[in-house]
Formats: sequence, C-alpha cells, structure tokens
Amino acid sequence: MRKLRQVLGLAILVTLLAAARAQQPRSGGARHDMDAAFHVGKTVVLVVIPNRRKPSDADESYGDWADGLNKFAAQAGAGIKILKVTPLCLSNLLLEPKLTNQFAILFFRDSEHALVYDGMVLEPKIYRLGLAYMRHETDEKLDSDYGLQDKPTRFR
Amino acid sequence: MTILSKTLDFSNLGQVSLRMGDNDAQHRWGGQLHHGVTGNPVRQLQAALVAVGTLNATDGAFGHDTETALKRFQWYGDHMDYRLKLAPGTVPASGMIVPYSMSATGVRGVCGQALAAELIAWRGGNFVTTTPLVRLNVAGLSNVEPSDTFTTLSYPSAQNNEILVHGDFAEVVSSTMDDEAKRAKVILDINQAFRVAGIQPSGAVVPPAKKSQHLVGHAVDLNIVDGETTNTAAMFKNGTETDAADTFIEAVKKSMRWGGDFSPADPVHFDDYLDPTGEDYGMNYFFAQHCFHAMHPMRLVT
Ligand SMILES: [Zn+2]
Repeated sequence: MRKLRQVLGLAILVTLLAAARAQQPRSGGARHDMDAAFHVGKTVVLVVIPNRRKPSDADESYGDWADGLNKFAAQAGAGIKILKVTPLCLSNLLLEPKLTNQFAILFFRDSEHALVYDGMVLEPKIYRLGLAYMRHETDEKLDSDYGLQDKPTRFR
Repeated sequence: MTILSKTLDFSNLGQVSLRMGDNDAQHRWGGQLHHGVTGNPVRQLQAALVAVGTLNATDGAFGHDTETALKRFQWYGDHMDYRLKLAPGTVPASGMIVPYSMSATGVRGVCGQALAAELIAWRGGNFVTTTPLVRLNVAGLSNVEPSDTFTTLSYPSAQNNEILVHGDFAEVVSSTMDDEAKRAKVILDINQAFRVAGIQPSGAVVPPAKKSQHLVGHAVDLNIVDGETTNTAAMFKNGTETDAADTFIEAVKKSMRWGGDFSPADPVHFDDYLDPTGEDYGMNYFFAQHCFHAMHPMRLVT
C-alpha cells in the first residue's frame, strides 16, 4: 500500500511538471503574443532585458535607458505591441538574428523583418527610427549611424 | 496671525524650542511637559511650514514629517537666495520670484525663537519656498541647441529653446560645456535635461531609476555633432567617434562625469554629480520635483 502511494505520488508529480512545461513555452509565451498581435494587424516591439535584479537607483545608464523606453511605450499607441523578453527567451524564440548583448530591441515590421539594436537604447532618435521602419519610412544611412540593422527574422 | 505669533514665539512657554516628540495634546513642548499651559504651538509651527511649502498637513504632533519639513526650510535658508512672493489668495504658479537671504537657521530639526520669527515673517509676507531649477535659454549659447528629438516638458513657463536644469548646473552648461564645445568646434544637441520623477500615468514598461542626476537637474543627455557627423552612442561603442568629439569629452571631464566611462557605457550622458546619498541631493530633489508639479515659475537664465 505504501509503495502504491509512492508510485501514485510520483506519477502525479510527473504529470504536473509536464503540464507546467506545456503551459510555459521556452520563449515565455512571446511567440503566441506576437502571432496574436500580427494577426490583428499590429506591429511588434521586442524589448530584451536581462533577467536579474534591478540595478542601483543611481545607475545613470539604466536610468537613461528606462526613461527612454517608458516614454516610447507611453507614446507608442494601440497599434504597437511591446513585449519584454529575456536574452534566453529570445534565443529560444528566434533562430535569426542572433544577438550578443543583454539589452536589445527589435522593431518588427512583420513576422519576417525587424530593425534591430543590439544594446541599451540611450537615444530617442532610435525609437523614432524604429517607428519609421515599422511604418515603412526608413532612412538607411541613419540606421547604420545609430547602430540599427535591418535583419530578416526566423522563428524556431 | 495673532495666535500664530503668540504661540510661535512661545511667550507662554518661556525659551522653548520645539523638537521631535513635542505634542500639543500631551502639553509636551521643548521636550518637557507643561501642565496648565494652553496653546497649540506644534500645530501653529506646522501651519507655518505648510504655508511656506515644506509640509503637507498639520496634526499637532512633532514627528518625522514635521522634522523633515523644518530641515527643508532650514536647508532652503542656507542654500537659496530667492523665494516666491504670492499675492493674497493666489497659488505659487502665479507667484513672483524675489531675492532673499535668511540670517539664522539654527539647529537642524529644532525650531528656536529666531527660526520661529523667520517663519512668522514669511507667512506674514506671503512668501513660499521654490525650485532650484531654472530655464536655460540655449538660444543664447553659441554651441548648444535642443536636438530635434528634444521634448520640451509640458511646463507653463518653459518656451522653445529652453531646457530645465538646476541653477548651478546651468552655469556648467553655459560656461564649461559651451566654451569647450566652441574650442573643439562641435555642437551639442541636447536630448534631455531635467527629468520628472515617478511612473507616467500610462504606466511604465520598466521601473525608473530613483536617484538619477536628471531628477535634480544636474545632467544632460546629448549627441556631439561634428560638422555633418552626429556622434551616436553606437559610434562610441565601435570606437568610430570623431576626434573633435574626443577632444570635447577630454576637456569637460576635468570637471564633470561622462557616461561613456560608466559600466554599462552611456556615452550621451554628462553630469556634475550630486552625491545621491547626501542631504543636498535629497533637498534639491524635493524642491525640484515638488515645485515642478506645483508649476512654480522658474528663473530664466540666458
Ligand atoms: Zn542621462
């Protein structure tokens, strides 16, 4: 009887773990959210943020980045879906492009093309260029000056 | 006013100085019990602090908030050389900036006779404390300009070409930075200066930094423009910035911090660093943010 209880307990644990894994895809549900956004005609911005404790309140780099991102989000409007992902989550989501920084941003024009900044965005101009890209109004010279790259995207 | 002056000079209490722990309901004033003496000097002190703009409400108990408000008023007296004069019945937004100097501020957090007299004079003259921020008109500078992404904060008295910064930092921008930009033959395109604290009504994607130099008006974010070339953060990251940009940065780093030296690097950020753990930071933060929200007029610096 005791052995049966142990086997049953183990079976329940395995089932629960499998269910939890099924509910939480390795991309953290971002793929589902992106598909849903594209489906209703929205563009998507993926913000890559390291999964770690918040930096010190006096960290100016963090402060400038956070302020710029929050201002962009406040002005983005309903036509743009902004999603936060960790670097690990991004690599589980996309085969291409491959990014190297802990912070990054991808402005998706559609599911196959994104304007990518591989680093902390510290200049409001980058958000302006990202918006223009999503609206198909890009100036390519400025893209390279500001470190933005138009990349094809490939999902896993 | 009669009650205020009588209670605030404590004539019925002798040479009492109000302090932490004093309480009208308990008849505790100056750290001692005064049975049989009537009055509400703590509440009157609090009312005076509310009137000068360093406290929110009165309750008759001298606790942490009252002590902080008193320290703010004393700090203001030691550091600021102007204040606002209000017409009776009007709000600070329509006040007039007038020069001022406080003679004696006394022991921090304790309200003695001299400070009580000062508070009575402020209240009698309809004076209030105000912001350390100024409107710096960069149109008057040869090598500094707002960038095309600079968003003028929605502030009634701020016009185009004006950036909001701390009065001390305005001098850094208009002398050190403008002079060195002139020498290096570059233009400084300002993206941001003073920053309003807190979460925007539409919600934040990530928590903001709570102790930034921008929150006290001691920082600017800018791109260094060298002829046709805008030196972007990406160019600094790749080491492809222009020589003139490096020349400018080396020159201003003698008296300022450059964010390109931070980790992670923030090459668009410049500040003159007010220690965020120090009293001056906390006081400047309070007056800058509080008076911004109350829309105090700001001095124009050209
Ligand atoms: Zn900054």
